[in-house]
Amino acid sequence: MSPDPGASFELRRATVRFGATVALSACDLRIDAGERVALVGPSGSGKSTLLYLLNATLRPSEGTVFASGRDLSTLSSGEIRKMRAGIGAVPQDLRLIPNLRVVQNVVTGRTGRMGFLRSLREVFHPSKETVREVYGILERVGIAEKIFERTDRLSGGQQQRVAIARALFQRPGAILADEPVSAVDPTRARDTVELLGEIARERGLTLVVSLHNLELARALFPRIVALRAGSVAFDRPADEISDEDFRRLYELADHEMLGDGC
Amino acid sequence: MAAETGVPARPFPIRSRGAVLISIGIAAALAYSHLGLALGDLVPDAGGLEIARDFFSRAFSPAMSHEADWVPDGTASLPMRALRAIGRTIAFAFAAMSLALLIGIVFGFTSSTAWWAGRPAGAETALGRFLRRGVGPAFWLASRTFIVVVRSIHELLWALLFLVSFGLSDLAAVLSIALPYGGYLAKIFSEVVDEAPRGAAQALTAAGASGPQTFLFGLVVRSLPDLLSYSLYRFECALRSSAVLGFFGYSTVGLFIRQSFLSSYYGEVWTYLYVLIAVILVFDVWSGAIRRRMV
Repeated sequence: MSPDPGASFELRRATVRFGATVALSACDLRIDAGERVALVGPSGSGKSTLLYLLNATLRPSEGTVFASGRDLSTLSSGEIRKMRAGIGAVPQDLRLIPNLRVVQNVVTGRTGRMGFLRSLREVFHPSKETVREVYGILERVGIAEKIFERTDRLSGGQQQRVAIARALFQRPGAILADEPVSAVDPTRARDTVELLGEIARERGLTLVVSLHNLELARALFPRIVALRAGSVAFDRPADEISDEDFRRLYELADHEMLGDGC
Repeated sequence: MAAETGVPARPFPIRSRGAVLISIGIAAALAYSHLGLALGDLVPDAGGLEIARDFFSRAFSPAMSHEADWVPDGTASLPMRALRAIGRTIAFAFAAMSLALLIGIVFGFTSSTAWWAGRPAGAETALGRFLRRGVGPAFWLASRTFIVVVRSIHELLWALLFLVSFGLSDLAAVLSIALPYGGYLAKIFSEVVDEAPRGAAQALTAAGASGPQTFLFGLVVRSLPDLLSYSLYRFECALRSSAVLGFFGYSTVGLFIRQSFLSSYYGEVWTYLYVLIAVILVFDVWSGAIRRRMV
């Protein structure tokens, strides 16, 4: 089981509608393998919707989504599962199993690559090799000593690291993180995003992170995609973006986006 | 004023919840008047008072030996008999609960909607569609009906039914507790699993886990503390039910309570009651400790 090479993504004219609301409209975007991209924009601009398209949690109402060159709408359930097993997701609300130990939560990340019986054994009584591998990952995210603790006994910041470790244990080619800063205090926020960036660079993973914090995005990501009202407002290297760009992004948004978004 | 400043008007305080409370009050009043209940009914006659006095006066002096003038040779001492009776009471409760748990797990699964109601990730095969649209709901309806039926008949009624059909068989006693309890457990299990927060399950799906894996780890494992907590409470109820089944002639503690009571050996009745209370207390402390660790 070798790690997937960095996964690539592409949206072609992707539109997502929830009833009458257009969350994303005719969006074109390419993210190459190994790229680190921050998605920025005001609430309701379509950041989460875009992320959810990339691992087929959401289907576009129109347009096409490609992951590593494959049109997601043509894949069978089994192929979708295989594709998802190679993409680690760090959701905003973490979605851990509170009454399991940290090691067990991390192991659930790889269930997509295991048969049912094997996953039963590895979740309930992880093998020594698995424990060793999980320990290594937990060391990397800085909470190795918590490996056998019950997950709900950990602080919010530590639980967030468990969610990151769970994604890494998938041996993913890409990591998608939705607002990884909202669960922790601002000083920890930078550490968390920085950690994700470093790990992605070390392992050659594609990283797509949605962020409210523009300064953090500019400081830590080579490429920034700004969304406004469901469309790409700009898509540029971080060092070519001025304060003026950011100011306009939010100013315009305040005028346009008074209704609900996603 | 409110309308002028654009503040919405306050809702009237008595809405649906208030209406429900008022209806309960009215229903209670109707029930009392229909049954003709009056506090005066509780005043006992002289004979009743004397029996009550005799009975309660023994509360502080439970019997330590048989109160009968004569017992056959080889009869176990009273404390011994009480311990054996409570032992059998616990054994009936254990046997019934293990069966009830089996019924609860199987029918809790089939009565839950979580395993079939979701849409699959990719294109759906014809077989998958048939399972989801046809087999799932059919199973669900059948098992839902089954658990409603077994649950709506109380364990004492089941005991009566089995007594009539099979005679005084211990297995019948176990079944009469296991069936309705299996129904309670199945109902609670299915609801707990169906109402469990979906986050963990969605995380598993997003990582490519299969349906069974998602169901087991994301929903069942996540609900385990609640399931265990409810099962422990049900076990305590099973202890009481098992004791009461003795009134039908099964050899649990209820049998001896009834015999001693009918013979007016109130000291013995209290001995049995205290043993039963002690067992329930110990169980309560023990299950509380488990619950605190799990939840």
